[in-house]
Amino acid sequence: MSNGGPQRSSIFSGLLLIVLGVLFLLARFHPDLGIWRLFWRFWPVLIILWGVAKLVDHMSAQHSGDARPPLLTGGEAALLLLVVFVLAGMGIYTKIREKHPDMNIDLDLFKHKNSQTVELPPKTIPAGTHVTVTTALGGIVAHVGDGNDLRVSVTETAEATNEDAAADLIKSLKVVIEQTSGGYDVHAVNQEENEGRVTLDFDVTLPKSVSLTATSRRGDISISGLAGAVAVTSQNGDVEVHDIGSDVTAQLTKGDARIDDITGNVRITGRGNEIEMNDVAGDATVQGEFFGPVHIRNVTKTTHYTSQAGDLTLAHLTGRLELDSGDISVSDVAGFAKLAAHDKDIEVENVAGRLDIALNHGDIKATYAQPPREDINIANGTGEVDLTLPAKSNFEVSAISRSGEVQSDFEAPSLKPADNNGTGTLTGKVGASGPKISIVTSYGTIYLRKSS
Amino acid sequence: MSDPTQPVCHCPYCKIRGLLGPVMIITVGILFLIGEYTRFSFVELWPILLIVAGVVLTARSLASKEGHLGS
Repeated sequence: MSNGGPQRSSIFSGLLLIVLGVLFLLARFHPDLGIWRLFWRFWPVLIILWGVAKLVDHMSAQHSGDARPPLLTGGEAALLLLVVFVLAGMGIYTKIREKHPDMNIDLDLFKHKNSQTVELPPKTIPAGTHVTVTTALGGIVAHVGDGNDLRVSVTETAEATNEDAAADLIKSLKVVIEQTSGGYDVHAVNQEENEGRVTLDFDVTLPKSVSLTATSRRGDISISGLAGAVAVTSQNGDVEVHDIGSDVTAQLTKGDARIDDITGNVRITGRGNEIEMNDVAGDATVQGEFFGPVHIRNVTKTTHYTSQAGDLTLAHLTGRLELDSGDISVSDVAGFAKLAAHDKDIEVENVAGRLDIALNHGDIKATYAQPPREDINIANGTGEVDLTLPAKSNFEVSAISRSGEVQSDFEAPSLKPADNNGTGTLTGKVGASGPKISIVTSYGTIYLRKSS
Repeated sequence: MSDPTQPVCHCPYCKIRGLLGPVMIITVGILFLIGEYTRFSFVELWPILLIVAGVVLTARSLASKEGHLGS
């Protein structure tokens, strides 16, 4: 095979460098893609890349008659080790940043900052009008003041390669309150047309009666006290809204949402991490991918949660709904509860209305403090089902475990446990006439327990 | 550094191998220029260095060694 020429080098190191470069660039310019999160999930692709590279080596070596490079050379091993260290370092760095966001580790050595705070002249605006606040980079804080004045205070921060350029950037900036057909529009003229980065942090004081739209491409948004509707769009930052007398919509791309004390409906869409929602008098709707944990508590009308992991509908949640990567937990629902999910463990407590659970894989645990008054319908693919009812419950049960058994603490003359070729069933009535309980699982035990 | 008794090799493999250093240095210079005169900074663009190095390394290992001299 070998013609005596030197060993060729493998294409693996080259490909690895290209992939890493593209990943770093994407992470920098499209932070909303969550590249690193995807990378943590799909890192075995690197091993595939290794294999493919070696295959290409093998074929090109055969083609040219050179000696085939070894599976892993010392140089490649060193490079891989370096990559692992860099990635681990970045992971730790991100974790620290997440836990202590105020630490402000600044890696931008090539930047000079210049900053100033400007108060715009207050503007009297009509009651009930609509105000829009937009910043490309920076946070927005909005709260309610006395009277009918719209007061805007802007902290302008410019970053540039030298101090003069930063000062020039600040000079060229202008923040305006513009009257439009729909209301008032607070924004900067030429925030983005400059080279360098300009951050505008808005602190806005509004009359209570207005409605507000706040948009930031990168920065946190916090709004409180308004009587009108609030719409928030944040592409890269946290959203906090509380004490609003009307509807709230929030669109996130990254970051957390915290929403409390809302008289109207709440709707959160997009992607992000944590959601915490408390005391909503209308509907609460969450639609999108949120890594969690998600906590929703006390929603008077209907709670909808729609994501790739599942689809939940709860009527009048008096307790709480909690979701994280592996679990869904629901407690105290005054109306019906309908849960469809995959690959989760589900725990449900005290649903007063009808309960429907459809799961493909995972364990289900349902507990009732009061005897059930409405039907219970549980369908599981692979996993256990554990239902606990008070001793004085009346119900009609049909439980089937296709490859498992059904265990029951309840005993009644009409209750018939059976085992046919590995399929466990339990059918019959307990007590006087009551709601129907239907439980099906393909693999796993069904427990029907009496609470003490 | 090169051994005077050995002729310089002109096969594609060795040519590209010699390119890596210069190309990297040129890229670093270009990136600093871009950082100085556009809205992008070197801190944002450094992964381009990885990509350039990767491209050169891949090209090197795919290059033919026909006519290679020396060991």
